[in-house]
Amino acid sequence: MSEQDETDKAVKDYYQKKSLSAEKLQQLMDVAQLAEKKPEAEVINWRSRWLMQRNVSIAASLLLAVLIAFQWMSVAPTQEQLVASIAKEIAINHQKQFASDFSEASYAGLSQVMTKLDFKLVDPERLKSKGFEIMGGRYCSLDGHIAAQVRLKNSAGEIFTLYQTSSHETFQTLTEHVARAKGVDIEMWNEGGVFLGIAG
Amino acid sequence: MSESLAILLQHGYRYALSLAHHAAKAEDLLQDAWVAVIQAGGPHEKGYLFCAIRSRYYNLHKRELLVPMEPLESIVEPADDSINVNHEHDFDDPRLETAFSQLRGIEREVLYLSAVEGYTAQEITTITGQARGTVLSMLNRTRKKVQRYFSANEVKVVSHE
Repeated sequence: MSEQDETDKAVKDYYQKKSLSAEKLQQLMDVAQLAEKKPEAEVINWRSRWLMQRNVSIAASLLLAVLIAFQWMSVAPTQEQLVASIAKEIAINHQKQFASDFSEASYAGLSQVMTKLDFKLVDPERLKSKGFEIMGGRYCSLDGHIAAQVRLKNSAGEIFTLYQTSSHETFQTLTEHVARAKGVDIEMWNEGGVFLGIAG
Repeated sequence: MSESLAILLQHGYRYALSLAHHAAKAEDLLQDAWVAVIQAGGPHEKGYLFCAIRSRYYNLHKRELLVPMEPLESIVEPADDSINVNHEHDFDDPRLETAFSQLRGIEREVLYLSAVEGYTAQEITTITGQARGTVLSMLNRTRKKVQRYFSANEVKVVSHE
């Protein structure tokens, strides 16, 4: 055997004895096998991911709808609750008997001086026959909306308070109601785009 | 399929070992190259895998390519020409290991491709991008380096004429 062949054989023998560990070999072969399965797996993953996202979206929408419905049901008061709530507010205002800030003797006159109001005070039809005298007016609020409190006195000298506020969405449903709160009789109605309530 | 794959990977490992001359580095080289081959959807062929291994190795060892370094070999040349050295060296792994460690990566590579894989000089030229003449002279010099190492470091069987 020539020197070259001898060296080559030694080199060959040396490298032939070297081999990748079984563990590493298996690991690399697994990589290849995974890669072969990958396209199918990706499709499955993509589909299942899409289905899952769709289902989650539907479930989230339903949950949101249910929550909104519950919220609306719990927040939106019934007609009776609304009447009772506003009647109570009117009764409290009436009982406080605050002095008038404006001493005009007519609705038109009060409208002119009560410039913060976003509506014109109306001269209620149903009170015309009762002979009320206007004592004056002041600002107040009803259900969070600015309102006018007008002090009235009947022929017997009894004091009534009339409340007027722009007929917001909340008040539009209150067409004709009579209630009693804190021992005060209250009548509520809508007239000329204004919500009115009288206590006394 | 799995058997041929295993054989291919073993070839790849040995080739990487010839370049890196370090088991763990060779494993890393092979793994990187193998993952790249798979990701590229390349063929499971020796030539393709070797190419991937080679490019990774030389990317990591650019300096070696730019600055060819000859190790400071302590080759003891025969002082007396009258002494005939028996060429039948007792090659053993530990000393081969040391001899290889004194070779450059390109030298081990060329030697491996020729001695182990049985590639011709022309094929090695294609793989390594070296000129055929360079490959041939490198092969010759590398074999001589290994032989000289053994001559210098073995218990010589000498005979005086």
